[in-house]
Amino acid sequence: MHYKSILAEGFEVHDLLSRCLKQNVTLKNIRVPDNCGFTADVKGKDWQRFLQITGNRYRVIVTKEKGFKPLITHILSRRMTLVGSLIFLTVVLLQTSFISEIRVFGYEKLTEREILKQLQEAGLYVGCSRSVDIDRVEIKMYRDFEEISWIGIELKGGLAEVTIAERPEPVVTVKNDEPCNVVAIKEGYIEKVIAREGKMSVNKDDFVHVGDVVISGILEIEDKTYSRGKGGPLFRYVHAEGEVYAKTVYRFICYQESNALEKKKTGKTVPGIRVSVGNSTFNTAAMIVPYEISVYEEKKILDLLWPLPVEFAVNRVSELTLCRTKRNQEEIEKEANRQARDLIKRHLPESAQILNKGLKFLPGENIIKVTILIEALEQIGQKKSFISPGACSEKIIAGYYCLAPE
Amino acid sequence: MFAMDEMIYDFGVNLPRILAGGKTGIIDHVKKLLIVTEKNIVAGCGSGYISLHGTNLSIKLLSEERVIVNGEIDVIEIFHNKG
Repeated sequence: MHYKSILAEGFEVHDLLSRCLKQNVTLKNIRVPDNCGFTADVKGKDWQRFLQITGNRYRVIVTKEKGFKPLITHILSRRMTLVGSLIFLTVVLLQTSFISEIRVFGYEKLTEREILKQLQEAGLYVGCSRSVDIDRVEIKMYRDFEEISWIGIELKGGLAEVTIAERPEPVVTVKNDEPCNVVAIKEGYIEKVIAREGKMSVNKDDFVHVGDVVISGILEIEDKTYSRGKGGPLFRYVHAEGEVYAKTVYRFICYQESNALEKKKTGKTVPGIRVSVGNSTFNTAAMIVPYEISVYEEKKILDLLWPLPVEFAVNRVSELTLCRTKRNQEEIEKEANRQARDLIKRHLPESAQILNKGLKFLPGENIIKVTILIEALEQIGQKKSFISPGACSEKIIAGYYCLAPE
Repeated sequence: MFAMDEMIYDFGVNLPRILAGGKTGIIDHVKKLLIVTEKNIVAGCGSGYISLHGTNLSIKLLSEERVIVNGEIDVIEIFHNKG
């Protein structure tokens, strides 16, 4: 639609309007403020006929043009705006067509850089097209990246969210006929060593580091019956076996707020109702909430599934005030114990026996630093072969007499 | 209304006819306009005239023998040609 707003000046306005009516020239929004002129909107297609009717008797001034045609002309006349809009649209299009960010979740031992590198090799990287085949990337990751057991990729606009689950480390097993030591896999004070095979190389209360030999599989032959010859002492290699219990110490640091946020009701309430029929819900509390901070309480009166899933409940929105209060020591200790239990569950093996637990509180300005010390008794021995792979493996078998390895 | 009266009403293209309600008045069968001001609009409808008195009167649409008037309409008068 195209209209021209005009101001026509001349005498006998009604005569002009009558002629327009007779010749079917459509006029809109006619205002006649005085006898010497009027304002109106003339249709674009009637414009020439209107000018013929007015002739020389009236002076016609176009004050404004309305409709799509002048709008498009106006837009096209503003080139810089047009160029700017095009650039903006292009940028938006580019932003939505490419992956602008990759976020990786779920990694623990692997680094984000490693995962991103593998993803890049699989075809997902910052700057790649959004139309990348996600299934293909996932399959490629499963094939090429053995450290993961599961991967999920979700595209949210230009953001790719990658969630992975790492494969647990395979337990290196030592064959039963292969000589080995039992080494400590954790630091701790030795409490008890039960050496079923091999020689105990630590005593009670000794401190062992990770990798220290606790039960040795290299036994010196002390039998004097046979001459040793020039080769020095003889050794026998055995498949060391046994249990090593040690007191291990775990130190965790966590934080707590020194103040608690207390909610107090002011006494002002707004009662309301909630009616739900199927998925449709009408709740007055959702419409009228006059308070900035409030709590919603509800009591179900009716809950039907048959013949219609109808629920009816009365509710109450109560105004709250928030105030900070100093937490007492009992509360803080209770929370620290809860944190300690949570940490024990997450970091200590199930077979570990908790011997002692210590909490240390270091109050700061608004925060309390809680140091949790846990002493546990646990099995720390693990078999470890002392033969490098491929080194005279056919000779060094448990029970054979050989020289001690250098 | 009898059938004949209805037919005359519907097909009488020279009769003055007006429908008014609220701030709008629709005048049909308009052949010419005699007076157009903000206080008075008089339209010739063949065999008669319709006069509207009011304030802030304006013509919203003028097309095909129909005039739609906007404004506060106070008085509607109909005059017939006698002779």
